[in-house]
Amino acid sequence: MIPILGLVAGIALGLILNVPVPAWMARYLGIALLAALDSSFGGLRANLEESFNERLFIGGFLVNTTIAGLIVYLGDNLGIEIYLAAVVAFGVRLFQNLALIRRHFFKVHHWE
Amino acid sequence: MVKRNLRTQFILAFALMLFGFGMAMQLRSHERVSERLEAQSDSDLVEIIDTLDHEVRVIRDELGDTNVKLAAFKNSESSNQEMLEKAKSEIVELQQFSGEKKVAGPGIAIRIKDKQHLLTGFDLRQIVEEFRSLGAWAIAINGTRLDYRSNFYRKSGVVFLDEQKLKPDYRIEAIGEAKLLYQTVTMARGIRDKLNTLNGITVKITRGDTIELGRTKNRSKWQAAHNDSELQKK
Repeated sequence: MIPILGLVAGIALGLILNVPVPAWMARYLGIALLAALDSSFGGLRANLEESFNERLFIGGFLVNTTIAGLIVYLGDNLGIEIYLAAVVAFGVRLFQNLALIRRHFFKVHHWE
Repeated sequence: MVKRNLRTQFILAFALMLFGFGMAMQLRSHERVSERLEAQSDSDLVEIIDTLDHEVRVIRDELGDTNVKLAAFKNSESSNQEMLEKAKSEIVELQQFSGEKKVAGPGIAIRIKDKQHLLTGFDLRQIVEEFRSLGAWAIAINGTRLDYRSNFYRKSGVVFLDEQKLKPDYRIEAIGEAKLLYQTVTMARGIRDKLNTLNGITVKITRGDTIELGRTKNRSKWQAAHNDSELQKK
């Protein structure tokens, strides 16, 4: 419940503050958000599996978002859309984590 | 355990809050761009497209101008090269004409036997002047090439040309229009006839397709005349 409240609070804060994002930064922010979402789902899954490690989570969250941004920057400079690789990698992991979370809920509620 | 779980939940909440905040920022920015485009009326869009077209035309014009400049630059480079080649060829011609270079070409050779040493520098100079007036490009006597400053003089009964002793037999060679030179020398009351009237002198004239003349010897340093810029310095 608390994570969902955090998410809602974040969205509300973003909508209220209305901080403008420069056009050139939109792609960077987009891929960083995907990385953050991937890390968050990974954290949620680990929490449900009771294997959550704070350091691993915070490290993964920061490193993933930073490296995702750097990949976009590198791709822009090389003229290769390397960010697609990050999108695919994070996307696959995201759905894997979602599947595991779903299975966990099914298991808890004996819906299987 | 409960405390640890709560801390985990807060950490996750904080991460999701950051995600949510970023997502909201991104959404708002995206909306703003969309709204801005939607707010444009048809006429505004036409104006934008027109402006873009104008910019494309300006860039194309600039590209065209640059190509023209490039072509002009290439042409001037080639014309400079042509001028350089022309100047080089003129220098070679002037060097040949002034006697600084060996030359070869059609012309005539006169062999004069003068057993009694009757001929003077004046006589030889007259022959040379005759050749010059016929447009001879290069003249040599006994292998000494003449130039525009050559002079004859007689000292102790010996004829000198540019400080070179000239002894009979004299061999005078001239490069030019061989036919014209030959006809002029051999015509009635011409050089041959005049020389033949002198006692002990025999003349033999031959035409040649390739007469070779060496460069001038004993060139003295340029002293007397100066060009304008040198005069202004003085």
